[in-house]
Amino acid sequence: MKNRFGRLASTIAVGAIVALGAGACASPGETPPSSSDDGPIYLAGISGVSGVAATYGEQTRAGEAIALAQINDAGGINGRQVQIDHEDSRFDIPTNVALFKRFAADSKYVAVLGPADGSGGIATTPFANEAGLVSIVAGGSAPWTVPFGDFVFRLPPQNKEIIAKTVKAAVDAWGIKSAAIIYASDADYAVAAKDLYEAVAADLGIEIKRVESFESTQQNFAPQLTNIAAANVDAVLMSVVAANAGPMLLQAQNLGLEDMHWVGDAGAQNASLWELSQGNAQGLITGTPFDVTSKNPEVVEFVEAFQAKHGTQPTIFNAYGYDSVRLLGQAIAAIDGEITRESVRDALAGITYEGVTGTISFPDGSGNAAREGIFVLVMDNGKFIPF
Amino acid sequence: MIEFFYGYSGQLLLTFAILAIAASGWSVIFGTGMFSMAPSATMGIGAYGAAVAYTHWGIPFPIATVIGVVLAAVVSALLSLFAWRLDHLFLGIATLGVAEFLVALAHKTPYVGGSLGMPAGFDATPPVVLITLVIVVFALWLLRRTRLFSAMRAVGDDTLAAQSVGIDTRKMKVIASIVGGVILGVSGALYTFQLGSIIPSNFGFSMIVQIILAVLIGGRDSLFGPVVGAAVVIALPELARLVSVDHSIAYGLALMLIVLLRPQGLIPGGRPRWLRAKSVRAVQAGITS
Amino acid sequence: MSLLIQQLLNGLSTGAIYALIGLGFVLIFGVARVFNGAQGPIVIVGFYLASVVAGLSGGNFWLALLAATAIGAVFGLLLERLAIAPLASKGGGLLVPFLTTLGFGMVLEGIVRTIFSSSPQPFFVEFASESFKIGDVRLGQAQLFVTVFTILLLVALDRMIYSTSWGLSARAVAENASIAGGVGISPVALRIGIVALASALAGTTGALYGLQYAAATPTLGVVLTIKGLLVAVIAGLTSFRGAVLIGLLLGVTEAMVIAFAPAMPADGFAFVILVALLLFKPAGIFGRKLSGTAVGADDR
Repeated sequence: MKNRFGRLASTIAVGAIVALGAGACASPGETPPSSSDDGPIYLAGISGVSGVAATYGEQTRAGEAIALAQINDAGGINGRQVQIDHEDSRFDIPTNVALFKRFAADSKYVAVLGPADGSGGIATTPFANEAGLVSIVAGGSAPWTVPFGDFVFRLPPQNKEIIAKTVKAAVDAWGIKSAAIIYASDADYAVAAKDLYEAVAADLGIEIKRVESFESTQQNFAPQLTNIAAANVDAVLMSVVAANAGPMLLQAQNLGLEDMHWVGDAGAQNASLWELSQGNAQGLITGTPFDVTSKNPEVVEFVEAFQAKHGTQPTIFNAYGYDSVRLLGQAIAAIDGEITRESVRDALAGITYEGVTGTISFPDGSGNAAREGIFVLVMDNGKFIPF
Repeated sequence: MIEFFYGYSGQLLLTFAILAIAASGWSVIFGTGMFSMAPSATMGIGAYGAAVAYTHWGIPFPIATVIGVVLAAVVSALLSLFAWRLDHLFLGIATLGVAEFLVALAHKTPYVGGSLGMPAGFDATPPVVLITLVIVVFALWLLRRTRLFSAMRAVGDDTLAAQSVGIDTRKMKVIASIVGGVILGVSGALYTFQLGSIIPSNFGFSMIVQIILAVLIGGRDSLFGPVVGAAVVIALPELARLVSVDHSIAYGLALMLIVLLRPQGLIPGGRPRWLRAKSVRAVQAGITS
Repeated sequence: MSLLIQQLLNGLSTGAIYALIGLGFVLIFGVARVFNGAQGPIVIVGFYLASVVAGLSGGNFWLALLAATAIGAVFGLLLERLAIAPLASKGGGLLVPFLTTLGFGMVLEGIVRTIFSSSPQPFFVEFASESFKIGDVRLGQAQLFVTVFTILLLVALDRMIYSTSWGLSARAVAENASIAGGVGISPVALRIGIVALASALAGTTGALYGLQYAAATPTLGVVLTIKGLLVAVIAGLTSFRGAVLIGLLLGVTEAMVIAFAPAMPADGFAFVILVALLLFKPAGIFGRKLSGTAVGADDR
């Protein structure tokens, strides 16, 4: 009896290992290059839809899906349909790298959408350049700690511009003279944003009376908010994503911060903030390259398509996902000749793309996108409107 | 060959090899009865030590690795001091506390890049990683033939009995922690130089779970148990991916099944029975006298 | 001074949640000698069901609380049958049942994620977000409710454990597993009852969590398991009242670290302070040295 079970369990384990080995032999070059035929154009997608920050991966994918449907419904690119094969990075660095290598080894993929988060993007940057495969990073506002190389294209604007403009707007509108900062101490972008807030506040003559941090697995912010209430400041500058910001704003109501001015960075631009904070996000301002209320036809088309499918305003990450697919689509459409990894890269390097998050171009030929147009939006009854 | 390692499965193989090394290291520590929940911290010290030496001080890869490994061994030895006072889950919680604190501290330390982490080189090429795994397994195979190892195992089997046959249990635990710490440090340094950059959360709770599961699933007493366990731990999410099941569901089900059917691990392995029998007799003698 | 009191109250309301989770651990450990790795995920299952029920019933918290408690008990029964009972006859150490229950918890997390996605799930109930003000000290209605409700719940459980014959047998078994047969209650029935009770408690905790923090994600289960583990181990694994005290203490410690040492990482630092306590009381603060076989000589 015991032996039989033992054998069964061993079989399962051996099976698992064999499967791993079999996959090992099968994966390089499974399919012939697709660039010369009339079949679909294959793109790879890497984003985390489970793990610590899963909600951003999901948002990016939802935006990508809208763009993909638009392109394919309109007949694809030069008559060829586009297919995106997604994998879940689980926000795990080795998984990001493994997935990137997997796509790189399969020659049918001409570009990778992702990794959707900065840490993953930094880790895969050397591999993107080694493989000569474009990586479009839609997230990650923190500084890049490795050279971009020729193949990594990063969409979000520098957080510095966003924060400077948003805090300036808060000063102009509310005349704030003192502020507290709250940020997630275990998120790269939030730590970077804290430093930017401090620098911008010094420039504008705002006194920072209190700096509070929390770990993103926390949902209890009462101690930090109590400190902020005691510091008696005019505004709170936050680098907090919606998942944490919602409960934070709700808890703030109970701790003497009902009349506080809240300033968020791009991560706060998420309509679900209204629901998560149970209406207490009213009046929060956020700086973003994506003006969801814009009358610009591209934006209107995207927002309407998104609302038709999901019933809510798209978030900044939805918009980045949407733009990354459209950007790539425009680049591929402009290629005169064979669609190869190299030609996709060259097309992106010279592109000027009018997207929902503004005009995107890459003056360095890769790396950070040049962006203009940062909008300050304010939460009003579940929607973001111009501030 | 090169293409293979550049591919997805090659990367999985490397991730597996690094986890197998780490799990082998922890199994030495666990073998003396110390349920340390800080293997990820020891590994992380090795990784960060090597990355700091390489990036900040400009020291080449092999020497940077040695620096990381030495630091890891020191930290591991210090952690074993908890075991002088604490046992079982109490030791587990204490070491887990230290591990969590170190991760949180790394997040807040600008010198090691805070949450942004540290870049480093790509010197741990696939052959380096795989040869290191072979060397580690071979070294452990040699270690297992020594009386020192038998003494460590005796401590793990029954601390009181081991004491009663004249084994210095505290010393054994420190030695095991240093040996395990060296191996964990090696795996950490390989991790750094294989991925080219590290962030604090690489060495958080999920790494602890991976290492411990690899040992317990594979078999805590055998030489190859941790290696086989590491293969299962790495392969499972991939199998889940193939059949589009949430990886937590696949992991959880497999964990329950394997553990229920095979509580001693997939490769139970032989422990030195003569010593166990002897130590039991010694205890009985102590009780009756 | 009012700041200190405010932070104390903040800490207590968080600690109440920790105390409930820690108590769940200790209940199961006491009777079944199992460290329940699924405690946190069951809290999350409770939270998600409570959130759905609250949504369907127009924000009725009591209905949500009831549903969460019920589903907790149901999953408790499943947990006992699938992950604990199969091991009961085999003896063996602590790690094996910890792994099976951990596996059960992972499955729950995966199921919740498959149904609800990874995005944070909001929690709406009719509780207005209002607060009481006494001097300079403020206490949110939800915060106050959670604290008071938890204290009442804990008192009720305390009566149950310390004053009923069922509780007496449970405690007798917790003190000494080998006398289970002698106290006139089937050890299997006792184990099933306790696991279901502790899991129902976890479900309740999920609803209270929702009320206090307003949102959760599937991944939070693991975090709560670690917190509960910490509380139960430091309390000494077998002391019901001890777990409650340590849970409250952990909440207060975290709040105090944030209040007075904001440069330190709160989670980690609170951990370290409590670990330092362990060094003085190696068997946990309210624990006694368990007999060698109980805490798994087989675990090695």
